[in-house]
Amino acid sequence: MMAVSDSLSDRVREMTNRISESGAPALSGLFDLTAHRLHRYAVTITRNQHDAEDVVQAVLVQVAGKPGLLSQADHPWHYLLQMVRNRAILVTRNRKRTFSVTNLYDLITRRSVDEVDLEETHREVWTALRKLPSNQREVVVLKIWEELTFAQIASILELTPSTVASRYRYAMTKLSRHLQANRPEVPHE
Amino acid sequence: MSNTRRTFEDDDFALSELERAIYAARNYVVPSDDLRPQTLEAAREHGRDRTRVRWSRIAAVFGLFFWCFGGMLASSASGIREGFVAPFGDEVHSIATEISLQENDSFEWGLVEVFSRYRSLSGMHRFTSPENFR
Repeated sequence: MMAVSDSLSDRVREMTNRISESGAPALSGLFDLTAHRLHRYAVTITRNQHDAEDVVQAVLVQVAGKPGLLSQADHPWHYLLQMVRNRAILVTRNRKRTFSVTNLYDLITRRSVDEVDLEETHREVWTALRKLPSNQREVVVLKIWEELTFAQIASILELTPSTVASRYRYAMTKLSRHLQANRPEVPHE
Repeated sequence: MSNTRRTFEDDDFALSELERAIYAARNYVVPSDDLRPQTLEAAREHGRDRTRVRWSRIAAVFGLFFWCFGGMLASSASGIREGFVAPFGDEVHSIATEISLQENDSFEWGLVEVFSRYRSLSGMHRFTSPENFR
């Protein structure tokens, strides 16, 4: 698990060094590498497509202006996630409207021909995730989608690893209940 | 065979199944197609703004530098200008008269003497007063 995060950090550092050398036009490499991941993490905090896109744009523009922020960090990928988190929290606080929606109508979803049969499951997962409290939701996202360890998540969220593990356990219990509640009973020996 | 709901609390298999389902849904929500061009354009614009601000700062520093040192140069130049005193007609006239009386010669030769002295003195002291011609 550490290898995924470390390899991503190395690639982020490489892309950031390119920005340092060539300026803002080299941002496309970093965008292609990280934007999708950053966006889905921002969506889990802001619970809104447009706010999440604003967050990603603002953070990447900031990195293009000051690439040293990332290239000098111990773990550039973790630092980038932290930047997105801080910006997303700020956006959420400043937002006048509150989002209590649990459907996915405000989000742009990808429909792959190969995964038509899985689309309903994906939709249920995202809907269940949106029902979780924000602090549990982001732990799940960082643990499962970003493949970070509890210690790494703890450093990003500035918590103790045991708190992170506890939030993860609570979140998984709730997710399991939400998903089971929406499914017909499966015959099982 | 029985109809049961396998939950996360029941066994580890349910946990890994749940984790797999969540992992598989990671790419379901995507950013809009506009995000990429918008971000790259915003970064370029931000870069241009930063360059503009940088040049404005440099221009301001140079402006301040020239304002300070220009003032000093101007005050020095005014000192030099004070030293640059051309022989005034009246003074030259009186000195030429004085010389012509002293040497018992005509006024014209007195005038020639004044300018000869002026030339020899101005070689050493470029900006000199007619008082030095005496």
